[in-house]
Formats: sequence, C-alpha cells, structure tokens
Amino acid sequence: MKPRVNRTESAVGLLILLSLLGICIWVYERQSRFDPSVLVVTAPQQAVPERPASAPTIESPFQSLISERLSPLGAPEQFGAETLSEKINGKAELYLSSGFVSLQCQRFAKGEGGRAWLEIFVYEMGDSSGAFSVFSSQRRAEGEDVDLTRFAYRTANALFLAHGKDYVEIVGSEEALIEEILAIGKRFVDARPLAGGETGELGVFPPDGLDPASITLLSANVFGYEKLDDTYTAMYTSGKSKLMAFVSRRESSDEAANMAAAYERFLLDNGGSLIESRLNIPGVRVIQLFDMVEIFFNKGERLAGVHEADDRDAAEDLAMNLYGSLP
Amino acid sequence: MTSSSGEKDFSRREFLVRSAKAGAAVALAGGVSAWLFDPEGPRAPSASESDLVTLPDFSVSGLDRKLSIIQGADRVKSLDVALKALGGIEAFVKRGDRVLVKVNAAFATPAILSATTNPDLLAEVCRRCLKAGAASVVVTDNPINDPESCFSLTGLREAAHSAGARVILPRAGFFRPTTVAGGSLIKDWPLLHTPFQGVTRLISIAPVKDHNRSGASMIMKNWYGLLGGRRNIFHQDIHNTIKELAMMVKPTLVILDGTTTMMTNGPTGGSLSDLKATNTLIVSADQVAADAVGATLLGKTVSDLPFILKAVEAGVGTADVESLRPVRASAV
Amino acid sequence: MSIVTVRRISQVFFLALFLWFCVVSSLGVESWQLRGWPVSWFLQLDPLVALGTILTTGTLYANLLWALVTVILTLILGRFFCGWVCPFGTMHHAVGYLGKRSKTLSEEIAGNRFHPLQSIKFWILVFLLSAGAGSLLALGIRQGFRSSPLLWMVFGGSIVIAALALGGMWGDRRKVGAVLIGLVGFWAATGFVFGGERMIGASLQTGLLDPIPLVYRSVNLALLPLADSSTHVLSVDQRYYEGAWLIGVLFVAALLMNLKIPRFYCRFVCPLGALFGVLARYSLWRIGKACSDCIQCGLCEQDCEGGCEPLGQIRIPDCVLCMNCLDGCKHQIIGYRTAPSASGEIVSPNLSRRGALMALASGVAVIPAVRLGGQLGANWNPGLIRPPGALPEEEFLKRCIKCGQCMRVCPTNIIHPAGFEAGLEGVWTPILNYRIGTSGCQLNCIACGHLCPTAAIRPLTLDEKKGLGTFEPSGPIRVGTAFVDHGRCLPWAMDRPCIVCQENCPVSPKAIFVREHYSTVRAGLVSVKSVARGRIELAERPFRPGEIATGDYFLAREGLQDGNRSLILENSEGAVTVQANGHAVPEPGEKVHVQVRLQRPQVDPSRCIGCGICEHECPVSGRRAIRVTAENESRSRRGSLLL
Repeated sequence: MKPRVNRTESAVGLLILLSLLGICIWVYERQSRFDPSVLVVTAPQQAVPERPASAPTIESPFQSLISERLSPLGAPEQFGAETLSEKINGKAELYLSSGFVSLQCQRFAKGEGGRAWLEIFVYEMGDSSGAFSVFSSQRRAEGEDVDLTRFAYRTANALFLAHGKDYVEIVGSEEALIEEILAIGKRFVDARPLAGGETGELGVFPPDGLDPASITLLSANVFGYEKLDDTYTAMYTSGKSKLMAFVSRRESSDEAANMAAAYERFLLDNGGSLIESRLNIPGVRVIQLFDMVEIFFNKGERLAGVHEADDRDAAEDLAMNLYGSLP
Repeated sequence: MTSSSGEKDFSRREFLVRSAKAGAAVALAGGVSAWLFDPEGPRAPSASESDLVTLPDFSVSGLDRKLSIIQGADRVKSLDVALKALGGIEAFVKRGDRVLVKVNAAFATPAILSATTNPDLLAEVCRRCLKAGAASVVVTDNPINDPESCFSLTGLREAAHSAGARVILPRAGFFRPTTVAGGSLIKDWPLLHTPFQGVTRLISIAPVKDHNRSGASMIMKNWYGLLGGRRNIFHQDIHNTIKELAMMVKPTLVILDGTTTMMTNGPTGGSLSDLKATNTLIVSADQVAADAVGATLLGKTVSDLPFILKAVEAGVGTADVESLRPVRASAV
Repeated sequence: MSIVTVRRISQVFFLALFLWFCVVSSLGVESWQLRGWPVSWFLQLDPLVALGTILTTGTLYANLLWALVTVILTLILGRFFCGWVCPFGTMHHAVGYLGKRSKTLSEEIAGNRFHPLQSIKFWILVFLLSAGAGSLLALGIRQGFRSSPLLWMVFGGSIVIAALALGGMWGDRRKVGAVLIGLVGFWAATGFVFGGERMIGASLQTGLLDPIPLVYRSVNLALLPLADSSTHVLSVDQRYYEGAWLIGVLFVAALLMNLKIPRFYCRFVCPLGALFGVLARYSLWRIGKACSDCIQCGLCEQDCEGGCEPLGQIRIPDCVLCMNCLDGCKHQIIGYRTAPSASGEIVSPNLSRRGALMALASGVAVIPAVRLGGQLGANWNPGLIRPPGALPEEEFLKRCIKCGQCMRVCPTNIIHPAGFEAGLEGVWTPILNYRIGTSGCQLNCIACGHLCPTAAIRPLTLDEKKGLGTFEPSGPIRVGTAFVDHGRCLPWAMDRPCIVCQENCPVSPKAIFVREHYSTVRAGLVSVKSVARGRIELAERPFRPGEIATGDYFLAREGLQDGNRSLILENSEGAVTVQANGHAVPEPGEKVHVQVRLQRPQVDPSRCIGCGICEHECPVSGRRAIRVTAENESRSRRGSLLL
C-alpha cells in the first residue's frame, strides 16, 4: 500500500513544484515589463517631453556652431523669465535680477553613441552690462582667461564668456571635449561681431589690473555731481593702491568737452585746485582735492578719468592706459 | 460488504453534493468578481453628472414681466395693493400648488433691526398663498448663524406657524450638489434641495440692506441662503457669484421689502440708527428689476452694483425698470 | 518525495519571494529595484482585501482579481494558503518549530489541542467585514424601504410580532422588556438610515489584522529599515517611519506567541484564515481518516499546525493543510481524500448565530462611533496630508488596507503610517511628513499610486499629476498648500535675509515669490561723524566688523526714498564703506539708517501644490516657518481656498 500512496504523493508533489517553477517564470517575465512609475522617474526627459519639441523639425539655433563630429542629443530648449527656474532651479534669481531675457540651450553628443556630450547655454541678457554682471558674479576662481572675446575664461571642461548682451556657457561632460568647446566658442564670437554700441563701455577699460567684477554703471548723480550720469566705473589694483577708473559716454564730442569743463568747475567749487599735468593727454585735467587727485579728460565722445586717487603716480599710469584704450 | 458499499454510496453521493456546492460557490465567486470587476479604478473626484440637481423654472408664463412699486409704511397694506395691481396672488399661486417661501433669516437678530425678512410680511404672504388654495407652504433658509435660533429669534418661525406654514430647517442631508449652467463659479456645490421636493411655486421675501462686500443685499443676494458648504469662499468674487445665483433660481414672485432700509453697516446692521424709513414695497416677477428699484432706496444706481448689470447681461432679467411698465401706487 | 517536504519547499519559496518583493520595492531599474516586479502580488492574492473592498466600494479593482484564484483553489483544496503560501504563516510555523524543540511529546500534543477561543478569529472576521459593510447595509435597507408597501408590511409585521410576543410572554418581564427595547432600537436604526445622515459609513479595517498587509507593513516599515541601517544597500539614507516601533512590537509579539502556542496568530486571530475556514466548508479534498481502525496514538496531533484535532472529529475550518498528520500517522489511516473522515468532521466555524450577529452589529456601529469626532466633516484635520492621487477621505478609508506599500516605495521617505491624525479608523494609513525624509513630494514621481493595490491612491499619469495636456483645465494635483508662519520666518520675523523656500519651489512659475522690504536693523539708526570717499565714520559702534557687509545691508538717509540707499561694502565697528552710488553722501551729524534688504516669501495659492519641498528645506528646522497643511487639496472641496 505504501509505495502506491507514495507514488501519488510524489506525482502531486512534482506537480506543485512545477507550478512553483511556473510562478518563478511568470514573476521573472513580469519584472522585465517596467512599471510606468519606474519609467517616469528614471527617464523623465525621454518619457515625457515637457513641451512639444519634435526634435527633427525644429532647426537648432546652434547648427552653425557645431562641427559635424557632434550630433544633437536632444531638442533645443528655450526658456523665458517665467520658466527659467525649470532649467536652472535655484540660480534663476541671479539671472532675473540682471535683466534676463531668454535662455536657449541644447545638448550635443560627440561621435556615435558616445558617452561624451556637451551642452550649450546662451543666455540673452537685456544688455551687455547684464551679461557682464552674470559673467563676473559666477567667475570660477580656477578659471583661466581665454583670448576669444574680452570676457572669457575656461575651466578644465567648460568655457564661459560674455559677449555683447549674451552670456554663454558651454559645458562638457569630460575634459577631452575642451577643444570642441573652444571651437564652438570661437565660432559663436566670430559669428557675432559686436557693433561699437553693443560693446557697451565694458570693453573700453584696459585689462591690466582690472577687477572685472567691479565694473558698475552709475546712472545718476555720479560722484555727487548731479549733471553727470550714465558712468561706468571700474576698480584697478596697481601695486598696493586701489584706483577707480570711470568712463562716461556723452552724446557727441562737443558734449564730452562741455561735460569735462563742467565737471572741472564742480570740483573746483567743492574745494579742489587745478594742478599741473605731467601727462601727454590733450585737455587733461588734474585736480587736487584734499589729499587726493582726480584726473580726467575727454576723448571723442567720452569723458574718462581716474577718480579720487591717493597715489598720483599710479593714477597717472592708469589714466594713460585708459586714454590709450579708448577708441 | 453491504455496509461498506452502502457507505461508499453514501460518501459518493455526499461528495457529489459537496462538489455541486463547491461548484456553485466557485461560480458565485467568479460571477460576482466578473460583475464587480473594475479594471480602471476610481476616477478623479468630481460629482458625476447624474448626481447633480438643478432647480426647475418656477416662473409663471405670461406673468414674468410684472412689477409693482408701492409706497406706504404698513407692509400688509402695501402688499395688498401690490398684489391687487398684479392681478392678485391667485394669478401666481393656484389651487393645489406647493409653495416654498425663501426668507432671509441670515442672522439671529430681532425683527426690528431689519437684518432679516419681516415676520408680519412673511405671515401675510403665507396666509394669502394658503387662501389662494396652496396645498402647502414651507419656509426655509440656510442662515449664517445657527438655524434654530435664527428662525426663532427673528420671529419668522412663529410668523410662519401662525399663518399655517411649515418651517424647514436645513440639515446636512438636505443638500445636493448643483452646477449652474453657463456659470463658472457655482460648480458641483451643495444646494439646499430637499425642501424643494414637490414644490411648484417659489416666492422670495427679502429686506433691502446695505452689504459691505457686494454693495447691497436684496433679492438676488438672498439666494445665497440656498447654498451650503463653505460658501464664504464665494466672497472672493461676490458680484459674479450673485449673478450665478440669479441664473440658478427662476422664482415665481419676489417681494423686496424696502419699508425700512438698512443704509449702513450691512448686512448685519445692529442698530436702529443704521435704518431709514423708505416706505417702499416692491413686488416683482423679475428679480433683476426688483433689485434695480431697491438700489435707488439705498441711494445707489444700477451702475454702482455690478451684479445687477452682470445679471442683465446673463439674461436673467432687466434693469430697465420702466420697460416693465411698473404699477406705482400708494397704500395710505 | 514526501508531501511535507514539498510543503516546506513551497513555504520557503513563497517566503523568499515575499522578502524579495520587499527588497525590490525601491524605485529604479536595477535588477534589485522595482522595474516590473509584481511586488503587491501577495496583497492581490489576498481574498480578504478583495472582499473588503467589494463590500465598501462595490467594485473589484483590477489586479485584485487574483484573489479569485485563491478563492477557487480554497474551495477545492481547503486552507492551502495558510499552510503553503502565507509568508506570515511560514514565519509563525518556523518560530513555533523553535518553541517546540524543548517540549515532550505529550506537551506538544497538548499544545496542539483545539481551544474553544479559536473561534475568536471568526468574530474578528465578521467584525472587520461589517465595519466595511455599513453603507452597503444602509443602501440595502434604503432600497428595500423605498417601496412604501414593504415599509408598511415591516411596520405592521413588527407590531403584530410585538403584540404576539407581549401576549405570549406577559408574565416574563425581562423578555417583554427585551422585545420592546429591540423594537425601539430597530426603528431608531431605520430612522437613522432614512435620515440620510452620513454617520453610517463604510471603513475598511481588515488591514489591521489581515496577515498579508500586516506582514508587508511590518517587514517594510520596521524590519527593513533596521536591517538596512548598517548596510545602506536599499537606500542611501536611513529610512524612518513615524510610529514604526509599534508596528514592529506587534509583529514581534505575534511571532513570539508561537513559543507558547504554535501558530497562535493563525489559530486565534487571523481574519484571513477565518475567511478561508468558512470557504473550506465545501472543499472537495480534506484531511481525514480512511477507516475507524485507529489506535488513538495521537501522533497525528504532535505537529498539527491548525489545532484542528485530526484524531477525533477534524475541524475543517481550522485545518491549515500542513499535512504533518499524514506523516505522523504510522498506520496510513489519515489521508487527504474526498470522503469525510471516518471519525467524523466539523465543517462549520465554531461561531454561534448570536455571536455572529453581535460581531456584525458592533462592527456596523463602531464606524459611526469613531466618526463622532466629526473628522470627516467640519472637524477635518488639516495636518492630514494624503499622498498625491489619494481619493476623497471617505472613499480613501473605504479602500486603504494600511499595507504600507506607498510608504515603502516613496523615494523621498515622506509617506508615513498615521497615528491618530486620521482618527481611530485611519491608524497606519499614509500621511505625508515633510520633516522626515530627504525632500518633499517629487514633481516627477507617481510611484505611490502605482503600487497601491486598492487604488486608495489612484495611479496617476505624470500628465495628470502635473496638470499637463488634457489635464490642463483641472491643473496639477495639489495635496495641500504652504503657509508662511510670519512669527517664525527669518525675513518676516527676525530681519534676517533668507529665500530658501522660494529658491526650492519646484513649480513653474514658482508658487512662492518674494516681496522686497527694507527694514532698519536693531540699533540701526546711527549718526554720521565724518565722511570721506564712501567711508562713513559713525558716532556709535553698534556693529561687529563685517556684520553688515554681507551684501544685504544698505545705508539709507532718513526721509529719502528708495533710490537713495547705498550698498554697504565693508564695515568695522564704527565705520561703514558704501558702494559709490549716485545718491548724495550723508553729511556729518546726520542720522542715517542701516537697513537690511529682506525678500519676504509669499505663497500664491493658485500655484502651490503642497509638495512640501519648501517645508523640508526651511532653515527653521524645528517647527518650520513655512508649513503645508491640507487646505486646497485637489481630492476634496471642503478645504478649498479659492473659487
């Protein structure tokens, strides 16, 4: 009797074990069909295009910048002031307060299925001082100046530049891409020759000793003189002394000359005294004001000079430099 | 042997019965599962269309452009003159009609402060409806303060009872969601609906009051008392809300009591010095026109009260009072 | 191969599968992460979950159809689930085995004897199910009474019965009283139902004791976080669950009871086992004796897991099909057969009609009782923030089985088992806590609804959650609204600049915006001693060096307007250096204000979705200065803030 029972038992047991195996196979099969929530979290870009961005039909704004070794890794994106925080959450405030207009960006991959990719960000700021402002406030300490445009530096894997009213970041996923990045930067700058006005006054400050982050636009009542407005100031370091250079662009060269004369009167009225210039600059005024000197001159449409310097020698050097760099 | 084979037969029969039962149970479980199977799951919370209620049109065709404006300090006399001018209450309430009177019982304040419907006026209206043959008259409102004390302290409960009408106090179960067709604010919102069951005629009686938020509380604003829920969020857009209230309700007759008008500190008032004897009773089939007349008692024009123009735009009625050729009379 | 060996393999297999499901319930695509693993499968196989939701909602949600497989197999085979599949049962089995080792044979047999209190589990089953059946019963009564003839028949009938009863038992005062009280109670109850009041409701409470949700909850919320706390394989950060200690203690207590009585939980408590016991009544195969030639050696009961007495009249509702008696019987008398046991069998649960009625009545009554606090009405708890996609509270309580799957999968660990925030009936239902965890509710995450086995949290698409595409008119799913606590917020209350919440707000456009405000700091009204080139000497020395040179402080001349502030670049104790600005420099002797520029956060309620990232990030780390409460949540209108 016993063997018969055992045979049934074994058969039943085998059947059960087979069904366990079946469950195993089913579970294994199920795990390869991904849960929608998993897909959403792990692949947000691909799974859910945030805006109708049918990549192939949209002409990339960066097409002319990239070499044929690069191919688009995603559709070009554009953000306005309202939506900027979607792209650069947390940092948007910095841009918005500097007159942000729009951001265009796109990722490109190098080679086929390569893991190396780079992303181009072009921030259009309201004007060149806005572009310069975001450029200077984010400047990386380890950055190394690049001779592309006036304000440009690179790090190991990225290029940052302010050009006209654009602030550009090109960031690569690895250091090997830096040549590609510099080439894009060069094409970007070359494609946009800056008209005189567009340079703003940022370009006129001579670079030696300049603290780029210090350039500031004073829009009214400059240096306590109510008639003087729209003046850029910049801080310079020369040896131990700190100096402030300023440039104010007037309507015409006559206006500039008039302003120079008026500013001279203002300073003399406030206790200054004219002293003799040692500089070879036409129309230069050197005014002693208490224990400081004010040097200024007009050249073309601009009134420029060095403001309230302690060190006359340094101030004169800077004034010469400034004179030389003015167009 | 026999016994064992008998046992076998028994157990086989028993097994068959058991199998049949198990089979039936399997079939039941399968059937119920298939019947109740819901692969989609619940949807986003919103009342399905079938749950929504709307109020029927209570207006009497042919009589919807009637308006009378009666001068007089005695409400009952004024009402008498006003109704006569419109052809008597019998023109509006027929034998067998079930009438609902919507009063303004918003606050638990004494009648003398005129923050609520005047009880004498209510009693007279109820009496006349019943006299005209109405099968029943119910009085209701969803007041702001506790309903129980509102209806008793204002004297409205006693007035209704004395005239043979029934007071229905709102309860949680009396509200059903409604959506105003063509509106955008009152959506899927609880409406005091149960008292309207079987009702064929709707009369609104409201005092003319200043209102801090909307400028005036008269007939159209009085429908606010039909809403339930946390309705005070409607104060964020009060004029459009009043317009939608007016779109929501098509009354038989409205009685706007401007015998005493609350000129200031509305809608609660609280002092006799807030009141002014304006000695006017407006009985109208057009709720917008009634409010347009009422506005003048508050020293306001139609353009001071955006909800009136909005209601006109929505086609609820007219603010051009003269176009209705109102009956003007004095009840002295 | 012996059938007992096969059973052990099956038990180990299902326990391992269950534990694997617990492990892989982390969001991700690695093989040990969620992918497509059917991690809620055991919950879907659980017919108590299916039956409970059928009673409360009248529907059988999607994958709960799996329960039909279990039901059909049980109707054919008996309580196989308990002895072969249930992971909690397997744990009890194993612990019980440890407890038995030191016992003698007679002690073991004594420990497996049937105990009358084993019927408690049927009481529990009826009680829990009837708590969920309230609205169904009310609906039935209401439908039945809609036709008034029936109403009059019942009314007349009850009067006749009462009259007869009173006439027949006039002498017995107690019975008369009972009949009268019963009648009054009956009519009060029908009145209650007719009133249309919302007190009688349905609330799904089976999950409290249902072993499958219980074991999911205990392993996921208590065991795994402890086990993973040293390895951090499953999650980068330690997972926390509020009140998980109680879940863990109950779990361990249930397991330890096996040392005293094997399968204590299964025999005395388990409502799922009770349900299987009821179903097993018709099972085609069952354990039983083939003939009456039994010497009553009792060895069949030595390892009997169910305490079902195969030696005598076997109690089918208690037999968990462990098959140990087959092995134990040295005379091959006991078998798994279609014929009833030769020594007779008991197929019905040991539950009297009166007992069943009592459990039913108290189950129906308990829900109105726990709702007396009014938490479903005006007294709703704004601190009760449910996960996105959760149904309106009343519907939610009809479906939530407290299994904790949403809490397990939440990638930021913000979903927690509730204490009494949702009332007594809401214990262990999910509630969001933005202080624990790694962030707020992630904008692009919809995991909780997809794991919820009963759709108490609806499975959302990302479009619906974010209010995109066809969902644009209804907007994004809101779980609450953030409120700024002006008494605690740094820029509002303490003149300290901070815009952390605004920066972290993930919605676009941001729901939190800032209003600029200049506030004169404490001791900030100072007088100027001398002025030289932007360096201003002060008469007072109120500031630490550098204290007001952070870029947020300005010097403002008294009486002058906004445009005439200048940024303070440096400061020493008694002097400040200001940025050259067009404004007139103060005169010596003049009073000037040192002001701080504050960006005070404001919440736009039409944009806020209540994700709680602001609350999580708020630097006021104790009681946050910006907190989310459930006002304006999408799932209900009771808390709406806006038109």
